[in-house]
Order: sequence, then C-alpha cells, then structure tokens
Amino acid sequence: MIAGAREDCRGDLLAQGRRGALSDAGRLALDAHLAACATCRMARDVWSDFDAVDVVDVRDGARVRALADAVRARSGARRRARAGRPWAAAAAVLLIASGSASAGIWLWKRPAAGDRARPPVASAAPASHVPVARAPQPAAVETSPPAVTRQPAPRRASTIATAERPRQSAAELLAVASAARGQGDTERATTLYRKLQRDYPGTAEAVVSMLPLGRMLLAAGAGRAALAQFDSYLRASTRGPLVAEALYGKGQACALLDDVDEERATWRRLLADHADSPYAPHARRRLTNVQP
Amino acid sequence: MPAHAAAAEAASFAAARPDELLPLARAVGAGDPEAGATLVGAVGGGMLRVVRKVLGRGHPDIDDVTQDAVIALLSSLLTFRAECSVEHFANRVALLTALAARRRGRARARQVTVEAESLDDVASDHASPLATTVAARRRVLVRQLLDELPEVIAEALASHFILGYTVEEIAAASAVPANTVWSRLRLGKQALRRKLERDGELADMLGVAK
Repeated sequence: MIAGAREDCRGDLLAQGRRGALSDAGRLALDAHLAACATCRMARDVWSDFDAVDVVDVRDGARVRALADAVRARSGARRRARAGRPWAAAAAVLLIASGSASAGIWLWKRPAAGDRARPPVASAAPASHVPVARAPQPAAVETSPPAVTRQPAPRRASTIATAERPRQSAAELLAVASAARGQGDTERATTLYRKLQRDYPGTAEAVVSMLPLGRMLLAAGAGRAALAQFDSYLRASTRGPLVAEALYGKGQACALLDDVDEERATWRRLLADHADSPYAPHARRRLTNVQP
Repeated sequence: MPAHAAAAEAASFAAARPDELLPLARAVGAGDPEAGATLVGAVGGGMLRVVRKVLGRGHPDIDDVTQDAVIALLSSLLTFRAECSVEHFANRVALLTALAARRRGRARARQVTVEAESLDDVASDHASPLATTVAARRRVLVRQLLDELPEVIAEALASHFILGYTVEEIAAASAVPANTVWSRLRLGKQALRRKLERDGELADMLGVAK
C-alpha cells in the first residue's frame, strides 16, 4: 500500500495544472496536495509518461492528407452509387480496392464491426456520446454472416426495391451490395455479396466481390471465412489488379488466425510481387514483428 | 507548445471562443463531401496522436485504427449536438476506437505490443535511461490494465490519463453523472496502483524491495 494513497481523492487540480490553468495560489495548493496524496502523485507520473510519447511524427502530415483524400474519394464514390448508376458503383469498388487514384484511396477500408458496435446516438442520449468502442464478441460460427450488434442503418426504399427484384444481373447485385456496404448495412451487404457469388459464379463481378466481403468478414473477426474469400480471389485472378489487396487481406486473416507461417509467406509474396504497393511497409513491419 | 498542452487546451469544454470547427462539422452532417475532407485535415493529426498513445508508438495498426476512428467520427457527426468541442469529440472517438482495437487484437497482438513499447523507449525524450525505462514500463502496465478493466472504467481512466480530461469533461462526454465518473476513476486508480505495486519488473527498476 502506498503511504498516503487516497483513491477517493476528488481533486481536479492536477488536470487543471497540466493544462496550465492554475493561478499561483492554485499551483501552491496543488503542490501541497501532491505532498499528501500518493494517488495524485501516481496520476501525475502516469500523465507525464503518456505526455512523453505525445509527439508529432514527421510523417503525420502525409498520413492526415491521405485520410482526407480517402474521405473525399469515398464521398464521391457514394454519390455516384446513390445516383443509381450500377457501373459507377462497381467502378468505385474497383477504384477503392485497387487504389489506383491516390494513396488515400489505398488506405480506405470499412470500419471494423466492433468499432461500430455501439449504436449511433440514440435520440434519448446526448449526441456527444461517442458511438464506438464496444469490443465485439468472437463470431461463434465463422462461416455465418458476421454478427452485427448495432442497429442497421435505415434502408433506402429505392435500394430495397432494387435489391428484391426477382432477377438481377451480376453488375446490379454488385452495385446494390456496394451501396449497402457504403451505408453501413454490413449484414445486407454480406447477404448480397454471397448471393452474387452463388448466382453468378466465375463472373468478374463475383470475383471482385470476394475482396469487400473478405474485408467485412475480417472486420467481424471471422478469420477463416475471410481467408476463404481472399484465397478464392487469388485462385481466380492470379494476375488481377487487386492481387496486392487480396494478399494484404490474406495476411491480416492469417494474423487473426495466428497462422504465423502462412502470414509470413503471404507478406513475402506481397513484397516479392508488389514491392511498390502501399501495403509493402505494413508487410515489412509484420515480417519483422512476427517471428515463427 | 507541446502536443499534449495543445490537446488539453483544445479539450476545454468551457471554451471562451466559439468552436471554429462546428460549422464544418455541421456541413459534414449535411453530407458535404469536401467538408469531410477538410475536417479530417483539421482533426486528423490529433486523432492520430491519441491512437498512437493508446496503441504505443510503432504499433503496426496505428494507421488502420486511425482510419476506423475517422469513419466513426464522420458517421457520428449526423447526431452531434455540440455539447463539447468538435476536436474534443474527435479525440474521444479516437480514444474509444483505439481501446476497442486493443481489446479486439489483444490475443493476437501481444508480441507486437511489447515490441512497440521498446520503440517507445528509443524515441522517448526522458532525461535519463532509467526514467525512460520506468516510463515505458508504466505505459505498458497502464495499457494492459485498460485491456483488463471493465470497459466503462477503462474509458474513464483513459480519458483522464491519456486525453487529460477533467471529471466534468468525462461526465459530459460519456453522458453520465460526475459522481459516476468519480466512482469509475476511483476503481480504476485502485486497480492501477495495485498493478504498479505488484509489478516486479518496475520494482526492480525503482530499487523497491518486493
């Protein structure tokens, strides 16, 4: 037991002092309090420890620019999808997945299911309550569609009508699935991607759909199901434009499954065949960090 | 100005001047794509730093988790009521997203976390090697504790220690009474003190007999 420890200490002087908001009298009061309160001394030390690593990295500017570019590109793709042009939605999927437009687009991906698990602010709750951060439960059966605990986004009537027509083309299905994914309706997107793969096996649309579906499964923690999607893409499209993307997904799925050997083999292949890919730095880091 | 001081200043709920980012956040909520990009340019750096503090400098998932946080931020601005500043809100989204990512990846990322901490050591500006090592060890223990504590307590503790928020600010951001926050912080600090006291490695560094 630390001498003088008082976990029920209710002084906020430390927080005020840390942001330079104390008067001279306040600073004296803080010093006196710290001399007597071991809990606040511990808090001061921990604060100081984290402040020491709160520094700007020289690459932060480029990272933030890439994020902003990705937001801009994603918004454009969603606008095109909403405009009801299936070819545009499919192109957006390809563009986002292949990253041919900018480094920012390469970076973009859908949020992990767990991060969206806290529903958006309910009408009764204050809006500033942040809608993220409940850790997801592991998927019980990985081949099932990912469990989505948040409330699904309201479907657009036009989208529902389109999706439930008796027979849709592969391109239409891909577009509708992409739109559902863009709206955050992961469950519906998963169903539509699977329908596309079931109804139109071997088509370009079905092959392309393996990547967003794999990513969604990965985000839901369904490692084996995700790995199956990425492997299927790599078998179907050995020289396709999205191979680096598929290898990146496969590497992440292997990491999730703790398959170190396969993960390392995947990163090595990515570096050998796609050394200029934006995923190459991640592959190098993982090869360094994950040892057999 | 150090990054943490700037963040703390921006975090103040009772800002004397109006929130300059609020019109931008409103435009994002209304669906303006260019506003989204501009807002990310304004708050992205702070979010990145928060994620880095939670995961550890050098962690390979920093970029991915920051993206997740940006997505969560943009999604939630539709219902943002401006009860705190936009920057404060963004940092809290980043904090909670990073905490969730830690919990999600805890089983598979143990090795990475340790290695990321060793990079922390190298990059730290602490005055002495001992202070550097002790600080890095304490950060490891705090992050481990955040994984182990019930989520609401971990959120309160991280908001306090990593974002530097006062009790009133945490209460407003998480929509709970201040007394509840005090209670959560008390439990969190108790657990942290126990963890620090019982850590043999830290005791060795400090020359404390176990």
